[in-house]
Amino acid sequence: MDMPAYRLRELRVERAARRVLDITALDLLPGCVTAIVGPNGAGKTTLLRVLAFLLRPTSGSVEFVGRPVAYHEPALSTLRRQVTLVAQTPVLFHRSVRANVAYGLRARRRATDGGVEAALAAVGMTDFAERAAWKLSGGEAQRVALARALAIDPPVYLFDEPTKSVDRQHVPIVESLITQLGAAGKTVIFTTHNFAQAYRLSDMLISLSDGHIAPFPLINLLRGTTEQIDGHSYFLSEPLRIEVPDGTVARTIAIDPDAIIVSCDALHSSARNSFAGRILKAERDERGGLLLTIDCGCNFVARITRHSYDEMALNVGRAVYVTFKSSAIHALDEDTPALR
Amino acid sequence: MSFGDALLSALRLLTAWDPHVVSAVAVSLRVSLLATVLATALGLPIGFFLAVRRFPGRRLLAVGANTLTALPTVVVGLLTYALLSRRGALGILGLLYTQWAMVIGETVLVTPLMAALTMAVVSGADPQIEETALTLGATRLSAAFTVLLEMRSGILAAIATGFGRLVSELGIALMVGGNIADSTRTMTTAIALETSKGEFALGFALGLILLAVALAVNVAVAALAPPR
Repeated sequence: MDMPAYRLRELRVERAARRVLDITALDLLPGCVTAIVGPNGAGKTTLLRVLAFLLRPTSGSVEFVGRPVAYHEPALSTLRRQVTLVAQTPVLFHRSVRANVAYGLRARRRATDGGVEAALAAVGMTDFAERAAWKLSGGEAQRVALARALAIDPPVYLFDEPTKSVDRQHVPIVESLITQLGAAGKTVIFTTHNFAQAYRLSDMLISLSDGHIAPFPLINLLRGTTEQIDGHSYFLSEPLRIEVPDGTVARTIAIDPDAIIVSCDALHSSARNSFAGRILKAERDERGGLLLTIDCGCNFVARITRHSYDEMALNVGRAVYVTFKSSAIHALDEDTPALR
Repeated sequence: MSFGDALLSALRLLTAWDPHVVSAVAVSLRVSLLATVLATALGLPIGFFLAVRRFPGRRLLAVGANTLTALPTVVVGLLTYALLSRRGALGILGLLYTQWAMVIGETVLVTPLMAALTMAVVSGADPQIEETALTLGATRLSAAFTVLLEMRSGILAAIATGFGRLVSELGIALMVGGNIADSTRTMTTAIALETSKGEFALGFALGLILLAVALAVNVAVAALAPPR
């Protein structure tokens, strides 16, 4: 197996006496697209800043391609040239679009001709080269920032919410860019709020919550209370009553989308939970699957294969049943490391 | 002499290109420009450093720089005089009552101002500017330069403020320059002298030129500042 692009051990980042990142062990593989998902304030941006060598962790070790990172100049500058980070709301310099895209090439004393045009073309902004960067819309600025990163062609790309401020019609350009970079053997690490996007684009998915890595994807998150009814434990989240393993006490649960069975008829099985619903959305997943969003009073996301989808003649709007075992449920308590 | 008469005489002096007037203007400009350049070269890096680096004693230095912006010109004049007079530490250079003496004093006066203003401008800069430069492969030094370039309207305003303070300064020019005609006489020392002699027209003419110079500098700054 390849040496990890990044190897993080016992990594802690503290800010104003608060621990914002606490990662025991994380390896990020080279040539892979990794998605980091998690709610606001989970530490996604902080993690990217550590990976971009912009932020020195309070403690712990960071290895980049097998070498421990030395947090001093000029070693750090050399290391930073292997990586580029496109921020969530990127800053464009007060210059032309062309000068912005050429910035990284100039910093490396590389020729700028050709590279700038190719990068702008990749994000569909060829005609914007001579425009003033400060007159662009948020979405255009985001795409120029992507072009600025593409122009320098580093081995590692870090994208913080790359499609957040991009207009809807340009989201596919950005998404296919991530896929293309992955196919070209680049290491791509991006954060997103959007689980479907994370599943669709990535080879590896990491869930962050309150600075910790969650041991399972934090998807199908439901909030409610647990109660004992007739000797069984239930999780009540209006309007659903979900049977959970006995003795479970939780205010939040997560259900693994791979463990949810979708059927056209009600199943008579050992699975304790079955709900009728309707398919709201079907999104492609590049790993050969489909992510179905099913409304059963609250939304569930289930992952099924394309083959099953076709064979069952499913479509958006179709009434289906969602079934899962109580063991597919992860209780997220104060005791769960991911939520601590 | 009425205000109107003074204005008329002033315009007459201006259009006649009186050699003493021309000399005072030239000395003022030369000394203030040179001192502004030197103070910028010294104060800008200090201010930038104080704004972006965290080290023990930084706040103390920042407060110090801010306090020194209120330095009275006569105090700087006195110190420079003590330094450059024959018995002073640099007396051997024989600079007292030369334009160089004025440049030294004025540089001392405005360097803290340049540092304090640069510090204020850079502290107000989005920290993402530096980070963006770094993540695009810039070295620390060129990232710092990028930040200054991005904040150029503020930096230019700081330089204009420094120049404005110097070109209108009287204490240092008088104390270490000595107000020697056609040598160290500046617009301000000339105004002071002419006023004390009752020659209001010349004083007034020089005052007008001073204002015109200030106007020209600010027009240039406005032209150099990036559009929004």
